[in-house]
Amino acid sequence: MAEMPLVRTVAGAIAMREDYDIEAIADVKLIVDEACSLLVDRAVAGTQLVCRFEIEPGTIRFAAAVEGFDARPIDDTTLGWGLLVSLVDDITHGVDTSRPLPLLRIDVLVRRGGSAP
Amino acid sequence: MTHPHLVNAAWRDSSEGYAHLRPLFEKMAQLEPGPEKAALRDELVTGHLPVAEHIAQRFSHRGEAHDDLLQVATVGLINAVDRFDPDRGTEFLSFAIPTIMGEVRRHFRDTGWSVRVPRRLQERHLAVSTASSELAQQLGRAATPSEIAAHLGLSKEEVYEGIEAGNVYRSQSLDEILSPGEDNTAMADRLGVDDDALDGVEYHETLRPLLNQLPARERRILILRFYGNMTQTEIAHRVGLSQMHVSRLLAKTLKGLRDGIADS
Repeated sequence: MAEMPLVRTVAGAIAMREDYDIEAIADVKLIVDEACSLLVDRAVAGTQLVCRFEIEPGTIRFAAAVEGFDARPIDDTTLGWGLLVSLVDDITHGVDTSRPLPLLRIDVLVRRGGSAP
Repeated sequence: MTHPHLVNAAWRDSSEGYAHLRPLFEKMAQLEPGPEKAALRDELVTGHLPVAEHIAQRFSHRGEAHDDLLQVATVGLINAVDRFDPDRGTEFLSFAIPTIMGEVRRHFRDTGWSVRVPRRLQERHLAVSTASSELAQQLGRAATPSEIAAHLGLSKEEVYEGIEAGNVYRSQSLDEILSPGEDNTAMADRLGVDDDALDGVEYHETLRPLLNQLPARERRILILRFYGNMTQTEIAHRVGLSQMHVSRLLAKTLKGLRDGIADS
């Protein structure tokens, strides 16, 4: 949780260097922030939040995952989720139960100039 | 540097408001430092306060709290009163206005930023944000860093620095009210920590069934000891047993409870 500002800054820097417009840069930060807080809420204290950015020309994929207390899927009726959906071009969430602790993940995709509201 | 408009505004006031203060400057200049001089200085500062207010007002749309601006302008006014030399033959206002303006400008330059950023980056940020709003108007959408770079004739890296510098222009106060909505609590009140009593809840919930299984007399002793905070002798009195007996019963009950918690 203490590293969230870092993740946010990295997200902003990537969007900036991929030449996303000024508003989209702010959006990408918000998306990463929101996705991570949805996961952190469910994470076992003291475990890691794993974030991965994949950059292809014109798209940023962001994947975040935590080890959760239980295998309930992410609640997609919350305001936070609704906000995410409105900002991204594609979003999925899932639970991997093949491990000792269930792995909760959120994957999003943001296209340059494509996520106009 | 004079500001015709401001000088005029203040001048208009001066015909009504400040003229009577003028002789005080000469009087003050002749006095030795002391209570009388200090009183004159106070009178001059308070008498000219509307000037500071005028100037603070002019800057109030730039995102600084009005009270802060007024404070800074007043400091400028005090400096002006202290530095003014009536022998020079100039009017106080033509000296005071640039002095106060200078103070307010310096405030914007030095403390407008929450985190001190090198001058070069402050200017870069200003250029980038001006360019970005100009471009947004031209393009009908938000500009990208490369468009801003082309517009300003800067490299992309330089634009990146300018954008990032903006992150620290304003910090968020812990006392800030987040939204004017129904639960307008300050930021600090929302930062959560684990409640110290959480462990207590767990013990409490485990203990309850065990407590219910205790014989009535043992339960009573336990309650008197730990909830009533009574000494063993007081308890002995209450339940009609010897203190020794109470002590033994307490020890036995506590051991039973500990074992019970360990088992469950």
